Amino acid sequence: MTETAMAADRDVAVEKGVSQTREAMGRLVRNPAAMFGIVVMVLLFLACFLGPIVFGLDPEASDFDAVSLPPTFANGHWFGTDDLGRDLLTRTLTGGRVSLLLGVTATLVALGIGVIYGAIAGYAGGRIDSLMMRFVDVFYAVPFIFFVILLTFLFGRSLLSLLIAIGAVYWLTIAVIVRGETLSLKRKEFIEAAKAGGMSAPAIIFRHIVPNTVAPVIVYASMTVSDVILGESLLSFLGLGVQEPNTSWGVLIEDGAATMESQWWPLIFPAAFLAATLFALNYIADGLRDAFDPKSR
Amino acid sequence: MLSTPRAAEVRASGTAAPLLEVQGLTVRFRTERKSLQALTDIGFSMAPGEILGIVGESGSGKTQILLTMMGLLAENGRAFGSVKLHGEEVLNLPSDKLDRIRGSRMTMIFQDPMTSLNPYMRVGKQLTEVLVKHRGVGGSEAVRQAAAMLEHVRIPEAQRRMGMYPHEFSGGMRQRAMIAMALLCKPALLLADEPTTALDVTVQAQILMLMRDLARESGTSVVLVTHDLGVVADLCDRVIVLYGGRIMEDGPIDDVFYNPKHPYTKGLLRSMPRLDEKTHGDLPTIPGQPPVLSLLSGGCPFEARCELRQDHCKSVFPPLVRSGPRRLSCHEVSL
Amino acid sequence: MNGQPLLSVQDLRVHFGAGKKLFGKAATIKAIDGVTFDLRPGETLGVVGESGCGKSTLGRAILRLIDPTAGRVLWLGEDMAGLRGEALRRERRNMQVIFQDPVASLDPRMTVGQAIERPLITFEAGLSGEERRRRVQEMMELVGLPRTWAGRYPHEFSGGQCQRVGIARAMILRPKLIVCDEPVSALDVSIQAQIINLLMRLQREFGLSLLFISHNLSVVRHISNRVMVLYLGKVMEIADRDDLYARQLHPYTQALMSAVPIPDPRLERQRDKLLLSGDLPSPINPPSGCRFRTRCPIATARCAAEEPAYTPFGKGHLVACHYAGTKPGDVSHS
Repeated sequence: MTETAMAADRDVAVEKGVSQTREAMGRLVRNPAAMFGIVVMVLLFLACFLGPIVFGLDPEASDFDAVSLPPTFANGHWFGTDDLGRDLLTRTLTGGRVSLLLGVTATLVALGIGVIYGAIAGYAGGRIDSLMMRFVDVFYAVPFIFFVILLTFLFGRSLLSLLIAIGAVYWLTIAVIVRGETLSLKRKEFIEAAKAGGMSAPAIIFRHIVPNTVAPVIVYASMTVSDVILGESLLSFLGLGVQEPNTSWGVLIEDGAATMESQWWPLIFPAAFLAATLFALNYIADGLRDAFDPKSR
Repeated sequence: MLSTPRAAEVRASGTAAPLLEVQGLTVRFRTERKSLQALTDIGFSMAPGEILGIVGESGSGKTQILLTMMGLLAENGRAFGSVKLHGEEVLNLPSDKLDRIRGSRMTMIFQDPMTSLNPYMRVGKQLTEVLVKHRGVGGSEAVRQAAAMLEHVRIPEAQRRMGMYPHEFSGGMRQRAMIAMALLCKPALLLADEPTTALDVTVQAQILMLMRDLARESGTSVVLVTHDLGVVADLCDRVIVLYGGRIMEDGPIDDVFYNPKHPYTKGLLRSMPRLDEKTHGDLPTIPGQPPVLSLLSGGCPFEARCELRQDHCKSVFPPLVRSGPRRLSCHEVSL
Repeated sequence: MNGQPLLSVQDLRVHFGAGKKLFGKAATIKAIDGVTFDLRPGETLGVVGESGCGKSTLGRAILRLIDPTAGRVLWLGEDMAGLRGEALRRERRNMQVIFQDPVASLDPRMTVGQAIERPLITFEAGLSGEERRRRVQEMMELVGLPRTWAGRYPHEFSGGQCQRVGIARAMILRPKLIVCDEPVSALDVSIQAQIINLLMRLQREFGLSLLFISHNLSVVRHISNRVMVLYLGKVMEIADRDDLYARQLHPYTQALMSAVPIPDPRLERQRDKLLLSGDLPSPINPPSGCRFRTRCPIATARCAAEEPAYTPFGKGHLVACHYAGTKPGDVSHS
């Protein structure tokens, strides 16, 4: 009996196959800690981006009658107010917009640059690879803070220069990781098959190498988002990051730290939000790593 | 009745109790989503000095038999049934008791000697370790015995090689070193898992000849697991044909090769190109793919690919029927 | 069929640097060190040898996956060394490859349909997606895979099925030559026959030439028209299939043949195995003169001093041995 006839016989003619990514996502969904992290992140995003709009809140609305109030349920200032009478719940949520958005976009920028750079370096090998990696080494040597100061000097103190600074730092490690993956992928037989099949080097890099680095990259990216948020908070805390009238968790924490002795609420809430975000991202990162881990296949 | 001169000799020695008796051996594995049965109801016995071949392809479970006997079953595996060595039960023994048996009365050699020899330890030391542990022999006596064994397995310059590391040996020599280690304590039973599969064919011929000579000389019984029917024909007295974790047929080597009964055995022998063949048309093939263990129903695992299959083959497993020295498990064929 | 060979390899050498020493000469591994043969259209040349013989390197050098160090590779009369970059890439559609590990030769992130389709995208950019799909399905049926499986991923297939996918991918551009690097060695015995039959059928239907690299002499006997025996990067013997299996003239070939186990117990008990002594010498420092002499049962002083040249022995049968054919008791496998 022919193979074809037998297969029809056995009724296994399923059109869609299950890719390894789909299998990994399946494993992720079954991981309670990771799902909890995802739920928390979704709630945070919704709260920060939609919350103020839905409830018509204005982070800049100063109420000089309600200056420096501790959290009270009655007057609607659940997180209290700051020394300009601005509602801290609103400011925490809108600050979250900046922190989260910056986290995600800076990571995406870093990914975009890092993956391509690393894949090209790894695939090209030889002198090009050495040169490209030496460049990375040099960049690594530049201290982060110094680099940010330089950029703000060049581009002024804007969200954009902050984005560039952060992106410019985090792409380095991604490039190193992707280069490492590329070096081991290069030796695999399906890459040889692609070469023998007449594919050009750019085609091989984009169609075969990059998609196969998805697993380690996704895991690292999820860790990068929390690093970036923390990094931004640090910069803002040092006064180098987000400027008025924008606010972020870092700024809020800085403000809160200044009045820490007398007022606990300006510090606690943004810090709690930041911590919750970092925990959630961590669970997600762990879950992704387990999902893609070949040992559990 | 067809049989090898050696098999006849072994039977004639007529020992009362078999050296090894396996009954109802079943091994199950539990993975994250499913449970699969790698072996079902395996039973066979061995006489001293006999060389038994276990032949099978992927999914046959052949390696699991050896690993289970040696207590090397994976964490998520469970073994049921009985394995008796010299009348003593060894299946599922706690490791302290098992450690006294394996390495001394029952030893094993593996397919890839590079990964089963410790790459960071000199070969001589790995050998003397065995003697120290199992025979209580120490110091220079252990070294002397170890070097003698290396010579015995035909490694040239044995004394010098004692001080070398495994990576300094060639593939064939590493395999010899592993055989030496396995035979140091004069085991009653040697388990060999694809011992020559990773070797060049000329080296394989040397190793097979060595194994045959050593087994004959020391009276050690050998269980040889392989996918290569040529190796079985060269070395073994008896053969068990395994498929999907079950015994399809077994018997003396000449019987099974010249008068195969099971459709799988027949198909396998017919589909192999032979070194001495003359015709070069299409090879007769067994259609289909090796079995996926998790998808097997309770019937005959070979059913989907069998040219003789009937409806009941899928649901009912054909019992293993004995006739003389042969056994067969098939609804449609009788011995 | 005109007389011109499809592929003509002349004194091919592929050497690899094996690390530089601070003082003294850098070591080189002479993986292929002077291989010469022709391959005609529609012919299968079996390349056999054991580890270190260079057969895999030979396949890759011919496909220019590795660059040869010296020697010539003529494709349809043209010296391929002149081809570089874009021109080389374009020529690739005529020579394809099938690998030993069928699963590893497929990108785990692409469906098999995408894998088979890829050469069409690379070389026939003008085709519509619809047309490509049609050709992929046609190819899948040709190699015995149900067309409905095009959306599946390699890890959902068995080894034999993956090899069929690899063959479909290699065949889709109707190449003239396929280099088969141990294509059935990693497959179950019962599946090997299926793949061998498939390759032979495709060869007949499409007039393919196959360079069939394998350590399995039984499979090589079945599928080849001519057979070449390599040892440490050099050709020991090359002949028409039936000639070689009937009468081996080189002591290495004799030992190789006698060592192959045959699934025939009575025959095995009777056979005399010619066992080689010693170990494979290092490819960095091969023996002087004839490379095989350190393990050869009939080597003499002449063998150490003088490298044997190709000597013809009847039609198309070449042997590199000073004493070819003079050893009594040739082992015949007819």
